[in-house]
Amino acid sequence: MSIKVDFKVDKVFGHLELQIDLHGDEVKTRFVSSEDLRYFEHMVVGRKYYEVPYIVSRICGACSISHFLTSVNAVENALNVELDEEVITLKEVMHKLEIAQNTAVHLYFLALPDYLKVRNLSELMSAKPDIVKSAMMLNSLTLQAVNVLAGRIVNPLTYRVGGFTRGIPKETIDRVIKTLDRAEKLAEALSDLILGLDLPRLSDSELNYLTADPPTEYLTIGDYLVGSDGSRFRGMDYMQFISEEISDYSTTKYCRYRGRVFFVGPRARLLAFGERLPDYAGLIYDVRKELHNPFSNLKAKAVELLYCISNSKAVLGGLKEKNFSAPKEVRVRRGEGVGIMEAPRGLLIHHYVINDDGVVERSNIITPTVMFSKHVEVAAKTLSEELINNGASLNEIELKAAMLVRAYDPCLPCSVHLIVKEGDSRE
Amino acid sequence: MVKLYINNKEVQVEAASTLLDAIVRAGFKVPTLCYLKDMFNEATCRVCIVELSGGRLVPSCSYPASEGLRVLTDSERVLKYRRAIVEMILASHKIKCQSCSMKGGYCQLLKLSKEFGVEGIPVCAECPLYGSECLLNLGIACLGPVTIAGCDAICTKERSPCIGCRGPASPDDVLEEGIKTFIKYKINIDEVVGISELFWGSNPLTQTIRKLFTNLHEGGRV
Repeated sequence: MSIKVDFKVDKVFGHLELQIDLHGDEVKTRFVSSEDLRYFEHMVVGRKYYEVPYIVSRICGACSISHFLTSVNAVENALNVELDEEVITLKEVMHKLEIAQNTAVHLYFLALPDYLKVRNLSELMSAKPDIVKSAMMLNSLTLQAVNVLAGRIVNPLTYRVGGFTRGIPKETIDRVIKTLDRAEKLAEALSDLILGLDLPRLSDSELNYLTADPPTEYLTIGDYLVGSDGSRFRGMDYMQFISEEISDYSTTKYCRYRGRVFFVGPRARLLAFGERLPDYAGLIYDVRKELHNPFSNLKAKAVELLYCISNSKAVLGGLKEKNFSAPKEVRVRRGEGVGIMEAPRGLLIHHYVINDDGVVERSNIITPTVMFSKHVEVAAKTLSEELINNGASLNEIELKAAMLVRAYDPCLPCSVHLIVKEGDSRE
Repeated sequence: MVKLYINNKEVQVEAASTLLDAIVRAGFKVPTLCYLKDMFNEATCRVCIVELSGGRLVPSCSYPASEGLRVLTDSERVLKYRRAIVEMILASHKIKCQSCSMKGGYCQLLKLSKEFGVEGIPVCAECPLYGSECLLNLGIACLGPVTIAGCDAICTKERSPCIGCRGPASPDDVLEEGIKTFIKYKINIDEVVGISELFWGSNPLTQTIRKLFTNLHEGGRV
């Protein structure tokens, strides 16, 4: 028997093709990105340390804040900048609000149409206008909150290496909290919708994950990574554990963690630190039972959406009237720094080597999509094998496989700026 | 009283009124620069031009309102010529926004240049930080003095330096004034050129900046 299903996956960020081939008994799957190379790692070489965050935040319009903050962390680590606690807290709030906004957009516009049996947003608009309206509303409310903290909805302006450029007046914070109050109600409705979904059944054959270790509670900024095998190591040592590979059929790289295929993202975060979340009426318990299923990434996202909004609200409410200390003086020196953060789609690593003049000499950026792309292939393989055994039609295989990819929420443009083809000089 | 038509809307004004009075009475707007009500209406700037039926362009601030006149305030022709007028005013206006007291969004010329897309005014003109708050004053390399305005200075509003994303302010005298500002605040020109390369990349102006700086610095004209 021979089956070949090659198709472009829609409703993901960027251009992605999934190829499923059956020859004899063996199914082969390929995660093929056809995005052009973007060379961000090369662009930052030769630039001053303070310009780097501005450059790399342009890697992705959807999660520019994560790229910005990860890069800032890496530079601050390299130059040994000690930050005040409130600066770190505000950074974390900014980051959580971005996760909330990204999650809302992904769940509503990219994931939900599949489960409501419509093809795209415009069909959803005519079938369920209420859902689209509340989606727009939730997106706009979370963006408003991001706007206050970051100065703009993409590519933050309010932060320089060393600290925030200005404080936030109490009245503004109160306004943000009111905005988040409204967002919270919509987020509850969305997560009810997502948590009630009947997900396709699939058992993860490679339940290996990697996630950043939050020093306190959940989604906070730390220096350590933890893996599903129980190991915990400094972000600085990531190269010993994570290997990057180039494939001959795709412009994205692939990663392995200790030689094994792994995944990152909300599911990994919930598997590792789910018990730290407040249990919203037993929600977490139910969701955690399902986490062996790659599709359950959606439910993990729904839980995180609730957490991010309610936690940001609480933290902002606890801010002092005068919540600003001028950016720390940065002493330029030779150094090497790694920033690790949980971007909306999973673990993000930025690594820079800075010389005596404060100029970046070497850089390495690993995005979440690079880390889990091999895992998508493995999961798609398991899924299509099951479906073929059950005699599913080609259309059904295509639909289910696309749903699986969308559950991971890959971001292709982010993932292609890292490749070094033969003949490129790295030094 | 005389009756006339502004953009096809009927309006009545007293016999000694100007077209501008009639336009305001009818609820429309034309930009003005030199006009000061009851004090100065010599029509020197001409940005208030409007089109009469028949195609004549006249300055509304000094043209008398007369019976049955039909006036268009924003026809295609009016806008085209008004843009040209703004362009000419800007060309002869000595742009020194970096040290002008009207900066911070009070400048009418800036408003007009934004409205008509005439470029040449630097970000400093609309920067909300001035005096002791200026980032240059804190020793931070901010590209405001040499970058085209029009962004509402959102970066400096958040006390973050301008990184030149809108491109260089093109006339050489504006750049020169900007570089004098950098020299005044003792900003390292290498830093400025470095940041300008972020968005201006291969634009030869990045080199012009360096050249101007060397000239100004070594020529001792500062």
